Amino acid sequence: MTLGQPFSRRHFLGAAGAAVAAPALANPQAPTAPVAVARCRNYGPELGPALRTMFDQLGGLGKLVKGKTVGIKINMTGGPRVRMGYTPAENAQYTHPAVVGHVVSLMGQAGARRIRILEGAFACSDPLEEFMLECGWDPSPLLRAAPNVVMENTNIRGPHRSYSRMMVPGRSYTFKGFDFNAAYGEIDVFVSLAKLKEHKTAGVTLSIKNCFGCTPISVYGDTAGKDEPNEDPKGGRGAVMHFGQRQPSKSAIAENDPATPRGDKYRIPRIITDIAGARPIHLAIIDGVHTMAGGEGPWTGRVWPVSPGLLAAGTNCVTTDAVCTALMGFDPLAVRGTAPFETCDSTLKLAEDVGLGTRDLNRIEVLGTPIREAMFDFRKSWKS
Amino acid sequence: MEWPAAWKSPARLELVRRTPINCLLCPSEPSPEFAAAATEASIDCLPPNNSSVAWRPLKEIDWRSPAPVIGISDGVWPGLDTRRGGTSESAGPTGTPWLDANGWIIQLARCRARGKPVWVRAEAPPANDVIGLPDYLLAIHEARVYGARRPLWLSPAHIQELDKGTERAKQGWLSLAAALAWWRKHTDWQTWSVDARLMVVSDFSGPNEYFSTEILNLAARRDLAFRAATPDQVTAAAVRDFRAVLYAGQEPPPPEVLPVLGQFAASGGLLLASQPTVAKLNGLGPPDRTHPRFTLYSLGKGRVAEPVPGWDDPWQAVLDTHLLMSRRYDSVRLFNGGSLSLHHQVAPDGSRSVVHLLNYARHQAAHQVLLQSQRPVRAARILDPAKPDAAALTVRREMGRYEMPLPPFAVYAAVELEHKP
Repeated sequence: MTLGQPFSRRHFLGAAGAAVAAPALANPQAPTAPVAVARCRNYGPELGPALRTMFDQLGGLGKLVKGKTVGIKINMTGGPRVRMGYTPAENAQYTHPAVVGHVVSLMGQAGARRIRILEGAFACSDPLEEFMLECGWDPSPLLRAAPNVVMENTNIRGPHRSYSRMMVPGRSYTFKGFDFNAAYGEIDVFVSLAKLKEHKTAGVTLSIKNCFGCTPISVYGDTAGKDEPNEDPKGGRGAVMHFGQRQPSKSAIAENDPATPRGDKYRIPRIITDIAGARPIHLAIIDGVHTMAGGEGPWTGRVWPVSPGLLAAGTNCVTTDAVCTALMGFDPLAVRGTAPFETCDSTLKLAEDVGLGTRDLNRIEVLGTPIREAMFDFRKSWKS
Repeated sequence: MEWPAAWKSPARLELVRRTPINCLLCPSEPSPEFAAAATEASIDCLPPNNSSVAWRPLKEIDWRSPAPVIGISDGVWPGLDTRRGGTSESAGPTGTPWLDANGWIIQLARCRARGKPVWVRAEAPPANDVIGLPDYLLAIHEARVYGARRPLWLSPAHIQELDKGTERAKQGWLSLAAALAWWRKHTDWQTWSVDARLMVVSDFSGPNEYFSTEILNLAARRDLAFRAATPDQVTAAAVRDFRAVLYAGQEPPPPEVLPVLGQFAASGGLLLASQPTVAKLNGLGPPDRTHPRFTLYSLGKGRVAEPVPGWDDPWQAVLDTHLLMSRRYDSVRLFNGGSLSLHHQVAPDGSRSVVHLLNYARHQAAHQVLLQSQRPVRAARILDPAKPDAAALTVRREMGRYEMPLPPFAVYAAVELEHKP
């Protein structure tokens, strides 16, 4: 595929034809919403205007956040001292703090009453501010970017009296509901502020996969309590979530069917679809200015830095992730066996099947920069 | 150098001539011929049980001994501990591969030795343990980084090879001599102070010994810089530049020390102390019990943190201390550091500092390591004893910090930073 050529679903289906026995059909009933795409070469002065333009194209932030409490789930996957070579984490696996700061600032200007920056900081219960310091960031500018900004590591219950139980409204794949840190239940508007990346287990990691980190490791982590949450947890989410070797704490809802496959490439796409149903995303924002290709973190084997120079935003997480999947050079209609879902199920298809949104580009209005102009082929970027 | 018992001939002294080795710890009384040859070569020969070095295990050292040198006889061979796990690396309470390290031991000894030179040695390793050149080099560099000296000990296999005159043994010996000579060029660092924001105060003995020394050991593993002090060293001037004081004593400090600690907190510092000490402080605010392991009190402009129910797990205490005082005060940090450990010292005028990097894995770092400084850096250079010249480092500014990608190095390297005013 050459940049600048017409880019369509048909094109993708043609390109992928031999690899897939039968192309998946999109669910025509799934809702759609526009997605704004912007070129942005770096995190300097052009970042703020680019974000503002995208939000304006979507109808303006004020409509969404004025007088509301907003929760922004950022992506800080992996340990704070781990880097892809010499590349700073914010230029590879983490959401860049400049993007976080600008989003917070714009939300403040749009009248947000309170803003919570949220993340289940990797494998620990440290305050999120301290986690940021550990990775070399100064959290102070983020806290000052708007009035009433707080941060919270949502891996534990934290200062709240209890967890928030949030149920998947319709059909669920793995969990009918989740016990989240109460911050996720006490917000009016939920924003998933993700990074544009491939993912070893889920094909791509965008606004939906970002929310995997919403699950508290006190309940869903390797050291989660058997009966009650462990409020001093360590480690990741391998045993409960990735491989289903054990159930979450009994205080939470057990998975629907422990007889289903235990492989994480089956489970993770389903679990994150369930999470997106239980904790609906009102605004998906994707940071693809500087990022990495080949995987979601330095630990995933052959990875390399890339600079797509892209931002995207939308009010539907599936349409936004579908457009971003296309921006990465993949077919959002691809199913298991086709890039980027060579070895895993497609979260986009699973999410579309339960009615969260469409992944059919023909039904998604793209605002701002057209996909064909903005596309950055991740797979072709090796050593480019 | 710990002189091998088998080397009785004065001719053997040829090996140490023209090296920085100027003192031999002899396993037995040297012969008059040997002693004369050593004197002629300006080399001291110390027979066993000499009065110059008071060799004792750390726990048994008489810090008031008149001996001019404090000798720690139960140091360790530094490195990743592979013994407990066979060929696999073993993990300690840190959850990461356990490091056998002498840094904290030397820092404690220097605190208690009050200006006397500190030497550290270790038992000979088990016969089937292979001690290679990187082991020797790491032991030498580690001791010097923390301001001590480590008498060179040669394994029987190495002695045999030297006796045979193999090229490998000669080259190894030259490398050791070069490492010792390298430190002669950097004696100024020995007067630079540790860039620490945490003072750990204890008598480091009796019922306080285990907890307080483990705090030092594990703080070093966490790269949480500290200065050890005994209660009699705690004065208003001594604590002024610190962000936190951890009083690791079960009983309250002496009466003259308590007001100093209280004033330190009231001036904006963080005092961590157990209940008997906190109970004697005046002016505490109401207790805040929201922390799972501490009751927090305000005191003037600062805070007091009392562990509940008391100090228990030293690793958790280190983690909590680091969080309560905030990682904001870490002057330098490493990324992709793996089994590297760092020690940061600052020149008296603050214009320069040196970050010592010890690679306890003893082989080249697997990943690209990056050093980050909070203080502005004008220029940086890396000094690798294995290379003839220092190399300038690229200094790049990221997110308000100063970052320096480091080239690979084997066992030890020092990064000298020139700071902006």
